[in-house]
Amino acid sequence: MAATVLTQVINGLSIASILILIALGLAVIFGLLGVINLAHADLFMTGMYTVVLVQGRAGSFWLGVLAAPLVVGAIGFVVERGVVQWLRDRPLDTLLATLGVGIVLREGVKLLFGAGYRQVANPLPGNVAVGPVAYPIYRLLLIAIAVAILGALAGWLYRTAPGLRLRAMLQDRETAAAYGIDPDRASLFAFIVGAALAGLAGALMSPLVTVGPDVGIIYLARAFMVVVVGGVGSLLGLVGGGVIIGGGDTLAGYFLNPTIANAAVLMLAVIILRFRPGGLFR
Amino acid sequence: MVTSNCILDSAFDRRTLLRLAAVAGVVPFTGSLLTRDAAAQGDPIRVGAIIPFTGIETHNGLSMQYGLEIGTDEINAAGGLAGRQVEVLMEDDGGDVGRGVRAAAKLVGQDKVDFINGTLTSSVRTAVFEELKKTQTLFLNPTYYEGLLCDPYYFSSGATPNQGIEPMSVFAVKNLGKSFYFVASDYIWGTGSVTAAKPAVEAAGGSVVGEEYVPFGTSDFTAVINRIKEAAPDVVFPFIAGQDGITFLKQLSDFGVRDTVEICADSIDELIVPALSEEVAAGIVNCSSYYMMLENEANQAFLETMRAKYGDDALIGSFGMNMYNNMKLVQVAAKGLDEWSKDAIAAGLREATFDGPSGPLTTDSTNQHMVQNAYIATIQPDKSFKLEETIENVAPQAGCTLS
Repeated sequence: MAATVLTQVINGLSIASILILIALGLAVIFGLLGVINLAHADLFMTGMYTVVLVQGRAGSFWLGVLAAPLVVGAIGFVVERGVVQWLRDRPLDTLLATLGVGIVLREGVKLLFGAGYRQVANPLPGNVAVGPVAYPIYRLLLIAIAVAILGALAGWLYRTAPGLRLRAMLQDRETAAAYGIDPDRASLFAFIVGAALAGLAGALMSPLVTVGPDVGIIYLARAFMVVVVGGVGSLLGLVGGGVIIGGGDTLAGYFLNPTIANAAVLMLAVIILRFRPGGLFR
Repeated sequence: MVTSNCILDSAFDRRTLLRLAAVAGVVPFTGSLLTRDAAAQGDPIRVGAIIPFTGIETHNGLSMQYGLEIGTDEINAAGGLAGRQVEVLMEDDGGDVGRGVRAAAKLVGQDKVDFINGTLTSSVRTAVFEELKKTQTLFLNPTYYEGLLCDPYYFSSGATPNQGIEPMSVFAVKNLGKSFYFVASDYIWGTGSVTAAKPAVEAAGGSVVGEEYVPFGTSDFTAVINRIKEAAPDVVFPFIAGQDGITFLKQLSDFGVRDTVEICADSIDELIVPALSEEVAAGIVNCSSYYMMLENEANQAFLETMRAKYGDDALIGSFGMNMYNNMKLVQVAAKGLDEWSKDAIAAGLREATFDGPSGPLTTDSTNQHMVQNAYIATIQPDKSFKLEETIENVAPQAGCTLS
């Protein structure tokens, strides 16, 4: 019994950390810029393919994980300069434009890599004992990585000058500009960070899931749910959203069945938003 | 010079240009409408193909296009169908029911295709089947599925459960283990397949210790895998569509369960294996109506053509091969016809046989599915497929008959 409970707790933590990793880039761009980035799923997928490419050429998974945020961050730079910055005050248009960017990425990957699935092997196969429970090492590592990235991001936002500038811009764009903050540069920076985080998440997830050009879209809905349930624009909200959605999924998935779990988590999100439209942690 | 330019300018003012453009646009259109009825002989036969080039079955899209196009090329090189060349129109269904139905309606209503070849996911096929029934359009299905579709104008080279799931179950009970756990996508193919697999396993002397349904787009199978661990079956038999199936196998391996169970399947073919590592793939036993590794002459010739046309990396699975088979069956049915007619082709298809890369196909006229071979193969440590057993000429049990 204790083992079962412990397993479910670790499962919940594992899924929550994965959801947080995936939603992080979305939350940064949504929270800081107010841009709903529908290309997020495909930036995530591009991160996966960066690993496929680097692993194929250099033979190292971890090198691919390092390369992914750089490559996808660079794509983020191009997308922000080329598309998003021109649509700053037109939210509906950014929605459509980023959706289009996503399609371009997806079809581009199909042209470069073909439409078939690719393989990214687990770099750390095997299980490790957590008390009475044997758990996959890689998943435990992901929990640690999620915590580390969250910590780094929080430190950057709340303890450094660029973070302060971003938060100032978030509070009041014009006043921040009056104080000498270049909102244009800050926005660009936020978008690159968000894209790089999406790429990193894709790279880290690639050993656990199927790698193909159309897989990103699966994660988009969940990532949005995490961001919206937790509350837009707060890291704490993101953690809360991840734990609630991930935990709910684990519990309902284990005690009921996965289809009902899907519906139950969606219901939960609707109920939360009915009573806390701004998200739980706002 | 200058004056003549002016005259030209005034003669072709904007209004005239618009009028001209309108006429130019309309004339070929009405022309084609007229000739279609009056002198159809010169027009090509049009095939509408519904293929998932995007969505969860993306990896099968190109393979289906290869089969379709190679079949069409061969028909055209041999003089076409009833003396007319064949033209292909492809629509992407994205694995989505709405898009599939719209594609079917467009191909039939707007493009006036003569028959439809295609569909992969069962949800799309079932909906397209109903849509095509309205116009009694000839429809050939390439995908193995749960059966239960019968219509005078519907033919399937796709295998029925007794041509895939049943032989797989019998082989698995004999060679892999007695207790089975099913994990299936929560829709018509998954549930229909489990419905067929359960009695097959039990009839062969096995037992079912668990069954489980997961929604489309499941990316985390932790809960399911925990329950499999607790049930400790000998064999896991997944019916999980598209990319979710690969994710399931990868995670099964991550949690260390892959080493404790055998896996048998009817959906893990040569197109799926590139996504799996050797440790995950090796030892999986699969039943299919076609593999690239089949050693017959027709298959070797086909693969040579495919690689010459699409490159050495080109892969094809049973869906793609059946797109080809469907074209060849229509060619057989059209043999000796002076004029294309839907009913003559349907009558021809009811008696058609074709011996191709996947082995001999013969229409079972009671349900218009094909008598065909089932091949059981094991994935080797180098991820190649090794043929274990061929069950020859299995008659299709579609679960329905033509009334």
